Amino acid sequence: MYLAKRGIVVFVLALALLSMLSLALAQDEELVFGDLPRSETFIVASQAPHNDVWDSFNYYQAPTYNNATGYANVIVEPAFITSHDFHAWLAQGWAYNEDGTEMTLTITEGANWNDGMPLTMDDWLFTLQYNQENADKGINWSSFLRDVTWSAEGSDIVFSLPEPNWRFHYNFTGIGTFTPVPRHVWEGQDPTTFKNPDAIHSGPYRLVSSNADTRTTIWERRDDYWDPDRMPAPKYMVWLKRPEADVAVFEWEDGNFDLGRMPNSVMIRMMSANPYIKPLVHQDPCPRGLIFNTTVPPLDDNLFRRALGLLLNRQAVANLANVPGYVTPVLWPNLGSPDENYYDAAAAEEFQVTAFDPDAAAALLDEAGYPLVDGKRVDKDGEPISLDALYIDIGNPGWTVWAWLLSEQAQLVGIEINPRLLDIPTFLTQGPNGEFDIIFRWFCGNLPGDPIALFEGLHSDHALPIGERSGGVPGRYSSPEMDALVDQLRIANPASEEAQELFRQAYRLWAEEAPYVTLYGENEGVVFNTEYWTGLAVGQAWVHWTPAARQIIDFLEPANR
Amino acid sequence: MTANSDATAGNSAADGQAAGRREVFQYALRRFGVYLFTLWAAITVAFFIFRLVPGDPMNILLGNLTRAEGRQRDAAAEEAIIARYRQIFGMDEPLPLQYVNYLRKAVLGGLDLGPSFVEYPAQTKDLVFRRMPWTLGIFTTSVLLAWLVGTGLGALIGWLQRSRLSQLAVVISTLLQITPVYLVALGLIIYIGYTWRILPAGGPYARHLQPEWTWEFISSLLTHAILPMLSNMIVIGAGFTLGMRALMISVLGEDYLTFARAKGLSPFTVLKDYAFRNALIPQVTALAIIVGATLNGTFIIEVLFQLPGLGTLFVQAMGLRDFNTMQAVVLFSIFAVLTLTLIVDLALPLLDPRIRRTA
Repeated sequence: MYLAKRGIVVFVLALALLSMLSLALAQDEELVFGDLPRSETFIVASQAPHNDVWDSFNYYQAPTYNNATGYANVIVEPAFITSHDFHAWLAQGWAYNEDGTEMTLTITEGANWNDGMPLTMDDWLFTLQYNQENADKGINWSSFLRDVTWSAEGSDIVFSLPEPNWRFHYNFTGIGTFTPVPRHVWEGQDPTTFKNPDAIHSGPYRLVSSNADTRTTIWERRDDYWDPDRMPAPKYMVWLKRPEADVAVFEWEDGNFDLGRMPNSVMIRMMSANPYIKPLVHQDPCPRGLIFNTTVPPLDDNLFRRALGLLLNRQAVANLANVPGYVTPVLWPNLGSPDENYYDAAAAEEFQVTAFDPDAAAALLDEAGYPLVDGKRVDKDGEPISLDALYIDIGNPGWTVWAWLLSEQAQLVGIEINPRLLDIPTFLTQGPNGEFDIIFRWFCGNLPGDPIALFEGLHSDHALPIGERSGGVPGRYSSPEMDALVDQLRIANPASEEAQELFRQAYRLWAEEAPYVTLYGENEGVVFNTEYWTGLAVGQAWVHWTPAARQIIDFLEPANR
Repeated sequence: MTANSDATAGNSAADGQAAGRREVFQYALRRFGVYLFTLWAAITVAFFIFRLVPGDPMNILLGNLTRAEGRQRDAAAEEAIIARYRQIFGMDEPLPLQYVNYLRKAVLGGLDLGPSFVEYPAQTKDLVFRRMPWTLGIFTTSVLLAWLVGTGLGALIGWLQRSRLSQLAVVISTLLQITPVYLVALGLIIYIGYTWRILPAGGPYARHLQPEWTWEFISSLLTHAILPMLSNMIVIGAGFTLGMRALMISVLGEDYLTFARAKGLSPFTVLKDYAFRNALIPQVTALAIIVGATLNGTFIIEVLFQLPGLGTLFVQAMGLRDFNTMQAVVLFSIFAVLTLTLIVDLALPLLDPRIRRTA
């Protein structure tokens, strides 16, 4: 009896000890978002500046393209991811016929959707048809299929193009690209209203929950992902809308986020408060420049425009624009090292396209007939020159400081330039409408081996009357020589010798005419918390607000601290 | 006095009551007419003013598209997209026609305020109704609580105007009243949310939860609501406290209070039935005004505490020049302010017989 009692006591004590031990062990594992182990969860503090959609996973909706929830970043997988180079993903490659009227796209076999269904050629063909049929609904990735036909041959899709087009593959290789959607989900649905509530696509995660109130989406890795070699390490991903920077800074200091953007001004403070926080620097693919309205005298004179270009202290602007220590020197036409096959170095030197030389600017103004009278430059009618420079403020000093530096330098040579701050919607309206003298602008679409985006916007097709929206470089520039070059470049194979020569001619004309001028290449800081995850580094392509995020999550490794 | 004269007196009293009722009814009718006219005028002004703001939503739409596709489309494709969305958003008609259509759909179409750019293809009406509970729940409640606490405290401070504690309370209230609500909120977030970790610093509720009738959700909702409500209550409550104190002090100098004291009534009865009741009437009017003003100025709190309310919605809509949503939020705010003012105006005669007589 005594032994039995003692046995019970020992048993109860052992049980209590075990419970305490398991409790202690359980408490060792930090849990977040309910019951997710922090060490297995990657948390992205995303930004969705205006559109705020958390209950729809629709890749087609033009007004609310969804890249804050992680859907367009990690779940939607493109045919190719372009970062420094082309990385095959849902497709393996492309090839053109001899005259550029046919392109063959080879798709990846064996992929599947995140609901377990196979991703087949049938899905590709369905999507192409679906996009073409719904093109009049203003959806994404549909306009490029106008007058295009296609057929399937094994793993190949052969596209027949209405005219030679050596750039048709850009529709599958760009930052945001055409990609197939699951037929079993989208068939019979309206692409403008369907919400794809289960977020079915081919990425390595499944939707656990999404909440529009808390602006949080939780994803769980799936074991049946179609490419085991590209299985990301985090078991869970949480994408949430970053709070205002004043508040978010505390979240970062507490280690509650792993990746996201923050203003450069608070980075130093955050890094000193949390030693795990590292800045990653991303070279934005769109270099910055200034556009001149060529219909406004004296900006209709290329010598005057070039003189303004010489008044731009680009290095000073770049120093203020970027994260200290990661300043990008101003290079043009492309960021990084310009490919001389497409670039006329002699023209760059002759026309001083990136030089800061106020004396040369003054000499050029004198030569062009804008004399200095009583300390002020006067135009051809003898009136003092006064121009407005339009800019916006998104928190990066570079976007604003150029206008003030230009104004300061212009004043020294007798020209009045008035910096004018606009809010973003006004800026985005007045710019394309041509309602400006000088305006800040980013130049996107440049690709290695094909800088047509630098010149295409200068075609007089885009020189619409002031007040009408222009889709090109909106300075209303018009030149028969540039038109002729762009017309040829549009249909030329950019890799051909002939096209390269045309590119060099276009570059020389641009340098001489200066319808727009270069400013700087911008680096942006992204915060990476290395307490739980490592693997991301400067130099990788890790733009997390595009489908390229699918590639960068493969770099992640657990920190095992 | 004869039976005849009694009957005459009775008839004239009944006539007087009927006339009084008629006057009150006419007052209510006139007041409702003014309410409807003001509502219409405010909606009309808002409709045209928003469209005078520079910035075309279609350019923002195309900017988003370009960002999504990572490249420029050809001009024909862009025109087609713009034409489609102008038609969807009712912007393809001349402005007067847009206005007529807007009013027609809003009044006759079951409050059809059109689609929203912020969460396209969601309807603006749905968006507003989804966000409204946050604004009403947190901000209106906090204003009411601030009013209750501020009114009580102000009455007490006014009653005890010569005590040191009362003077200290006046200094503190003045300081709190002039402090921007942004700073109060940030202070609460930093100290209570992050430094001492007593309460959640932001969000409507814990991020992993979904709205449901469970204790976990309800407790999360309540704990998350404390700091935003407190931010509002501190600043607005201080204003109410000072306002009520001033009203009390002016009432305390009235002859009828001296008379009440001379009658030998207890100080509590004098405070409750004579001073407080008379000081309360302007304070009720102030409540209606403050509720309206707070509705319009809540977005800072909503942004800081990451609450999905109407203030945040308006700021998002403004950034996209989403006229439908901007108008819907303004419509709601105007409606709320005017309705509250109407209710107070109609309720005041019940509280104050003098108003009933002048009505």
